[in-house]
Amino acid sequence: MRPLLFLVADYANITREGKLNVMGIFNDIYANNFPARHSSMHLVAKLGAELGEYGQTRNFTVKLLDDDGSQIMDVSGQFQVPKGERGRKPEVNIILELKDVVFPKSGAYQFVILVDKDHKGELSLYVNQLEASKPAVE
Amino acid sequence: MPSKAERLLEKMRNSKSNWKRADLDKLYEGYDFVISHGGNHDIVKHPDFPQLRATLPRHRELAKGHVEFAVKLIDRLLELRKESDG
Repeated sequence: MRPLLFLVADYANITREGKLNVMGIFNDIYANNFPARHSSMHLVAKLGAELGEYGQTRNFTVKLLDDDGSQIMDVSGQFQVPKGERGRKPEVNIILELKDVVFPKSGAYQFVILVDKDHKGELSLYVNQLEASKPAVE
Repeated sequence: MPSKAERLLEKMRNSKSNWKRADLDKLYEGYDFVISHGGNHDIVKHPDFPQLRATLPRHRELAKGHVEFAVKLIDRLLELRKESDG
């Protein structure tokens, strides 16, 4: 599988016609206090199939690692690669809704996607500490 | 004359399979990336371009995706260096 798209957004879905809708792509999260809980985000991956993968079942894992390389969470699943029809190369859309992810501290986090244990892509997510508002000085 | 890291990059560009973790470490370090040993994975960062980051597993054998990602990351580094020089 070739990675075609890997991003995190507020919301994503796939329509009946197979269109991929993505709303509010972001790379930064801001929080007042840590650990910080992010109520909902959608991780979106679009993968293109190589010849020989058509019609096969593949296993995927998404890991979230912190700035020190410690794993915060992982999600695994399976997908079926469509059969290539009418000379078209099949693509697979993966949407994961991640609820209540807890970020222990501010810093750069990495989402890593693996398909059958092979690394397919990485995505940085920056979790920032909001600065306390300073009192106005006259 | 190309450096060791440049020769390694060209070899990895031509073939992404059958590389060891030590080869990838040499490639990254040859392009001034810093590898820190983290909790479950190691983290690769470039001190001049902090947006260039990668994670590495601790296995000796490497999946080819890590090599593909490293080649892309170094290509991006070369573009950024060119932009900052130009």
